[in-house]
Amino acid sequence: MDVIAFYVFAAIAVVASLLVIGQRNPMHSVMLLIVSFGALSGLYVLLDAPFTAVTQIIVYAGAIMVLFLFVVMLLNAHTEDEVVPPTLGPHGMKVAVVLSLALAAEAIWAFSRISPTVFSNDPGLTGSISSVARIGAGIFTTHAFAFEVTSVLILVAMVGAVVIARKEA
Amino acid sequence: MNNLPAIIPILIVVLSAAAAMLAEAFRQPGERMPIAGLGLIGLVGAGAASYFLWDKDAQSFGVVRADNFALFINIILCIIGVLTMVFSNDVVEREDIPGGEYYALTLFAISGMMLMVAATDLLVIFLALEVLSLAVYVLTGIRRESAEGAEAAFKYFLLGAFSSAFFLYGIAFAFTIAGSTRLDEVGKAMASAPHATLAMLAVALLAVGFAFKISAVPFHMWTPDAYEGAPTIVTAFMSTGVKAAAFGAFVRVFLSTLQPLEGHWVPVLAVIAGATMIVGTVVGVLQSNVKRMLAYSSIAHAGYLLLGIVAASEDGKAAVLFYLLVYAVANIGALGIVALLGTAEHPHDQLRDFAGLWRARPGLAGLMTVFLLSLGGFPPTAGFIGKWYIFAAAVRDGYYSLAIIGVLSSVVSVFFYLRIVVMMYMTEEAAAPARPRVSGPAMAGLALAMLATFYLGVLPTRVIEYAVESVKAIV
Repeated sequence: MDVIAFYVFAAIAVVASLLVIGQRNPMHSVMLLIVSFGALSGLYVLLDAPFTAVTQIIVYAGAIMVLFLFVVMLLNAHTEDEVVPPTLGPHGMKVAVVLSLALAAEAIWAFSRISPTVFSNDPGLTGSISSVARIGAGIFTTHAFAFEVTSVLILVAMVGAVVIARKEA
Repeated sequence: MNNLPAIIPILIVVLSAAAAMLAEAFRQPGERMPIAGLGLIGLVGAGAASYFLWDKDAQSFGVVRADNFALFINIILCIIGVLTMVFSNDVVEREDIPGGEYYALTLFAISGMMLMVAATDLLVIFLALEVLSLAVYVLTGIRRESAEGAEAAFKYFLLGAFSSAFFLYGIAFAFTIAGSTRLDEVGKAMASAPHATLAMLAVALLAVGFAFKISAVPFHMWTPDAYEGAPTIVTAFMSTGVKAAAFGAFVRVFLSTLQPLEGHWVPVLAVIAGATMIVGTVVGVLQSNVKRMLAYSSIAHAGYLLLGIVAASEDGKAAVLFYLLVYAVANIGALGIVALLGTAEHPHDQLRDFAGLWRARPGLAGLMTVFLLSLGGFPPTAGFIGKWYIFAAAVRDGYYSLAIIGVLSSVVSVFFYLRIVVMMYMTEEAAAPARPRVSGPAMAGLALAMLATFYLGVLPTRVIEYAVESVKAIV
């Protein structure tokens, strides 16, 4: 069951991501990106990380995508600009092919060398990360001070944004 | 309540920042309000609190520790802050900087710096780093009508965001190894080092994050642009404050938590230190803009300070602390004078602007000379003792070549400090730029900085003893 769900979510994520870069209309790209993020959060659920899944939806599919949409709408960029003719020169393509082949070889080599044992398999560790209840308890006990410092950080960010964005008096 | 003492200095500064913001909110348009005074009260209070916490080794919430090491840097930060406030009072209105926001952000930045040095948890160090960075990004671009300021702020922000990401990655890897972000837990896990690859990744990424903030080569590219584009008073503040805080956390993380892996990171930092000294000095010689020149000089000084970290002995750590104080006083003095002489239309930051300053303003020219000589490392100023102490620590640890690079590069750097001095004394004033009057408090601040420079140069023993005592807090 898990395996089928994994392949479904993975396929949706990959296809949607490919479609994102294939669109002429930036608005469609943004919408497809949301689909991709949704599929990713499904994968997180399968990985037993409900908190990450929920943050993925709230932060990425929610807040970040709204920002993207605002930018697209503010710039009034409904369609892509005219395709700029490639100015790579006669050998540019060959160089690009060689470089991308090298990158692919590197990536394959690197991934083939990573073994799962590099990362900790401590179940206590992964358990504490995934459970929403434990994250909540952590924020208000062990990390209470960090939580408070974050409020100062956000205050500074707000003041800074106002200073930078305000109209001249 | 037992949890509070260690964060009292930080709380005082945060409260004074909030007070500065409220004061601006209640200010009538056109009404003058001594907001700098609020900042001064907060900083003096924080300094006093740090003084009373000395030797107490107070801890808060398990993640903040006001040991003598943090308190020593707290006091340096208070000195930097007080001088900044005193100079700002002259400069802010003239340069069209929004007062309330400027003081609030400066004070927030100082609170972030204090927290960064006192934090004993990588997560809190990161948050403090972000508090101070965000505030400083905005301060860099606070003059909205200045295109250079906007460009500088943008560059600084983008590169800074990248470096924060590196730092955060480093923390993530450290967490993967230790299962905690607390420095003592991370240190224990690093010592047993079950996952060498991950440990190396964590160390390398953390080093990149710190190296960016202290502007070490090859992560120094942003420094000249940001320092040149920012209002000069902000340059004075960030070239000293950010460096003090970043070096404090750097020493705490690398010389205590990551000490077990010393054999791996010391050679890397040694190369970086050498490159930083050389690049900072050689490129500095080519500059004709005083702010840019002092930016390269601050890069070179980061190299000298790194030398203290590389010579990872008790002496090396104490030398870093002492040098941070020496550098802060001299650099904020020199840049403060540039800021006090500048206006929005005429920044007074070209080398030729200093022509004939001796005739027009003998007092300022004399003070500038003292600060520049201290940066260059002339006896009997503080710079000489500071450099001597660092190079001696390096030699004792066997880093002869680095010590030689350090001595040579400080000899070369004297060339560009003396260029300003020669300009002030031996060149006739061409077209007299209107130099604004310097107020009494600002003059008093400069005089205090000069006294400190001579005091640390002639009778350094007492302060050095404090520095040696305070590094015992971090084993």
